Amino acid sequence: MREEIQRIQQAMEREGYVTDRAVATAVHLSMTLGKPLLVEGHPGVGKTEIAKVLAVMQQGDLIRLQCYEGLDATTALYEWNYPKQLLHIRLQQDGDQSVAAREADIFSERFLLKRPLLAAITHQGRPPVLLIDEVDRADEEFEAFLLEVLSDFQVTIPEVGTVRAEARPSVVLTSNRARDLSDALRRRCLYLWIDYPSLEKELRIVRTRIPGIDERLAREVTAFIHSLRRLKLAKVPGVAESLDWARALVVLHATHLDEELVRETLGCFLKDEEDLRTVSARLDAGELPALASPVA
Amino acid sequence: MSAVSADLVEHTARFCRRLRAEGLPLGPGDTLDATRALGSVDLVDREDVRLGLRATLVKRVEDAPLFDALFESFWSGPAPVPRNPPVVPPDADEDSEGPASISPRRRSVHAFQDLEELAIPAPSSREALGRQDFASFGEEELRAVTTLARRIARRLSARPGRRWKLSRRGEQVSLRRTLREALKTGGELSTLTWRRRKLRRTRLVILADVSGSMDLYARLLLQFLYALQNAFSRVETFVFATRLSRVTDELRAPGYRAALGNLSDRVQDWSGGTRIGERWWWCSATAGRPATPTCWARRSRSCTGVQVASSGSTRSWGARGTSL
Repeated sequence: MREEIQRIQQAMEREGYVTDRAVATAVHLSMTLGKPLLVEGHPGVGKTEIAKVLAVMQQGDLIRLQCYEGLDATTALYEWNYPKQLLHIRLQQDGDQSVAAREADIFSERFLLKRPLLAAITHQGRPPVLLIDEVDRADEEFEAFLLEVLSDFQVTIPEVGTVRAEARPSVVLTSNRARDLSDALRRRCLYLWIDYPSLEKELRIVRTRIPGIDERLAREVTAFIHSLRRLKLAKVPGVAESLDWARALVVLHATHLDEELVRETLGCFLKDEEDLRTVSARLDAGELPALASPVA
Repeated sequence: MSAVSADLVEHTARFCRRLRAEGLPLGPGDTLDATRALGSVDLVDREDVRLGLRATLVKRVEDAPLFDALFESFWSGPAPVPRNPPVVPPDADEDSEGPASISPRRRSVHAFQDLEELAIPAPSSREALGRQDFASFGEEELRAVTTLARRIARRLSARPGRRWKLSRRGEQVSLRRTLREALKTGGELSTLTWRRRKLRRTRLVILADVSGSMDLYARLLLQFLYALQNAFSRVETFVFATRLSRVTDELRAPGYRAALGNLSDRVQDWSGGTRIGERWWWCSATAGRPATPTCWARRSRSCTGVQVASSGSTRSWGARGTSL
């Protein structure tokens, strides 16, 4: 394995992100090739975490743009600070400036509200990490706009002019596949798919993220969650849910799982009423083997 | 980044070509990326090379198994690459006949169909081919439908976009412009300027069912298709029964009669059975190549509506029918 990739993997593990070669290679290539990294995977498998860890590793700031339906340029790129502009006009009312000069004044950078994309472009100092989270939630129009920004990292503001990034930020995009992203966007990015982790890997994640956890409890929690992933659930619990549940159990001073405890804490990892019913029925029938036999 | 030998560049290019031939949507830029990626991984480590190429060449998780199989066969020694690598095909249909064969293996049936088949509208294993005589369509009906279709098409064709424009009947105050106006009045917001979203044209991909079950409506449907196709430039039309044909060019004829003439020459499975599922499967399986609806939808990408005109009774939906 290439040294750099190994170093990245180690650095990620140091930051508490248990990972594998595929992830480390993709991150390494994204850094060396200077291309955005598109991370896809089920909810709760640690897609967003990659950006956070990357920011810590590069000692840069993390700038986050959360996407949602109807997201537009004024929330993603920039907006003028209208109240401030208005106040400024009032204050300058009696001055002898011409209208043109006053206009140039209030439409200058001082009155610009930088939203995440512009903030990433104009960021000073070490290049930041720009996280564009859940890009599949934004509409296709926005995706096209994003393509423009990502291809040259420059933005034209009519009143100010073209703003260009001095140091290109590292970009991480995440998607839950709520909608298929366009080929154009995919082509612009390196691609990484993160699947649910194996039992061993998940156990390692739980141990790393919750240092004080009882060994037997950690084992039982991951095994139980793994058996749940085989069921047909509306919202399959991800790693985030395993961690939430394990943390809750630690707070409850549990050292191992038993049926009653599982029933009381179902809400930590099941987020759908139908799923709750399904799993309860399975528990009644004693069909979830992770509980029946205590782990040796 | 270490230099990549010319030999390796050539191999990478050939590998990319191979992937492209198997349907992965790769451009020259991707080949370049792959080569650059090889420059920053450990070339002696096979797993490094695989992961490096995968990060650059696989653009969606569905393509990963295909990539892995091709990687195995391509980069494992000097043996000639087999024409058909051991790739697991997309789930074969539950249909006992196996995947739909597009070659005209079966005997074609002209004009008359099996009476039995007409009597019991159940799935048939035979691909019923036939031609339709369109000459019987009335003139004034045509005009009425055309007008209607144009109206529908106009409604379909425009939708609000991302960009704004100033408009007196806008839905939102344009603060930018309003403030600029306020400069003249010393910060007094005396007039509000409004803005609304610019309209964007929708591109439309139409899939029309022309199988037997739709015979009743075929006339209306055809007129509608013709009108839609000619009212707007960005429409792609496909018809399907047992096979799928792109009829955009046929419909784009100087007159309705001419279009009909083109159509009856072109479409061979008129009034045949329906196999929407397999069609979809076929559409998605061959996506990335020209002349399939998903491909068109993808190519025209944003703002595309896919309109399916069908009666809904189908012989089989196919294993991947719903996964479009």
